[in-house]
Amino acid sequence: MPTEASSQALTIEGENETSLLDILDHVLNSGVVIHGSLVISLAGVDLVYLGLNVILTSVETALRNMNAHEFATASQVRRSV
Amino acid sequence: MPKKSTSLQTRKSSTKTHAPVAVLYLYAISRMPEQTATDIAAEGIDGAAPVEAIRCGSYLCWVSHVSKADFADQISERMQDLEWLATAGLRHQHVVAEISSKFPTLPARFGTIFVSGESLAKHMKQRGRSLRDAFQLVADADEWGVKVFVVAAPKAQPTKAAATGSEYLKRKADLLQPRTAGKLDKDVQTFVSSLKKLAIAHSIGGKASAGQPGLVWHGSFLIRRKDRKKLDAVLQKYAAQWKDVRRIDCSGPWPPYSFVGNHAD
Repeated sequence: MPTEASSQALTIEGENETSLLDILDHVLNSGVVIHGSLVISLAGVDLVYLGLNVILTSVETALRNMNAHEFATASQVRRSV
Repeated sequence: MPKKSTSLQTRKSSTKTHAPVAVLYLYAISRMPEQTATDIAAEGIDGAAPVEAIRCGSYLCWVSHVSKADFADQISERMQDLEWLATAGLRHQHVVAEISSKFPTLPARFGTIFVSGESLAKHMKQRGRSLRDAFQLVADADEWGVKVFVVAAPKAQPTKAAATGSEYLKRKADLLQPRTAGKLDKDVQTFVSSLKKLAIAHSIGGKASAGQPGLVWHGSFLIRRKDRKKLDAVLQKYAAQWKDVRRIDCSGPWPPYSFVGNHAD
């Protein structure tokens, strides 16, 4: 269902660090929970941030070397207002 | 109709006796589209397995066949490996984003595994009513992430060096601790209230960036697409009002991760 919002070609602004954190903010511990499936929870919030901050560069490098996708999809934007 | 998987990637290069046990990793659930499901170009959660569509009643379930050992038996250990977590989280999002761009879609919770297609179909059938409700809630709406940061000069830190390692760690933890809702500045409360009035639903917080320095408040809002300009107007208004005091970051549109499940835990 391409939408007006998601079909806009927007540019990603800001640091990739925040993009990665934004992605994990939305992906982890959210989404449809189907009863009976394995559900993972994530603890140690501050440690997660500190850890992600440290490993960010290596993840970014690995993804780029794999010719993987950009951190965010082309339809998304992160902006400071 | 999409083609069902004809072979499991994990089985291709393995002998019959040593074939690893595969399970289904669920990315998202789409309403059965009238047109044929298209191929998903994004790589699977393990970087190898293709993304496939399986029909369950009136829905399409988007899955990959992945190693049971990696994604079920040892998932707790995997989750402690932040590099693995970041990479897998990115892959999950890329798959869901691509599916969401093509079909009305509910993103599945990260790490949702089924032992077989039959198991998935059984659980989908049990969730029929709540899935319909979830699709109805998020119809024609997107999730937007909003963060408020302090940009004013921080309070002076203690100049005296920490006497012990534990004192140092405590100070470090205090610096990273996000402010609670009860301590929110009145202006920020008003800003958040404005967004709540505009949104269909809201969800406070986010696991990964909760410790970001200077972060005052963060959360997600489910916004009707027709109200996108109203969202922009609220953001612009407060950005102009706060100027050098606070910074607002807004990201999106996201698939409606935060509004399609029970996240009480």
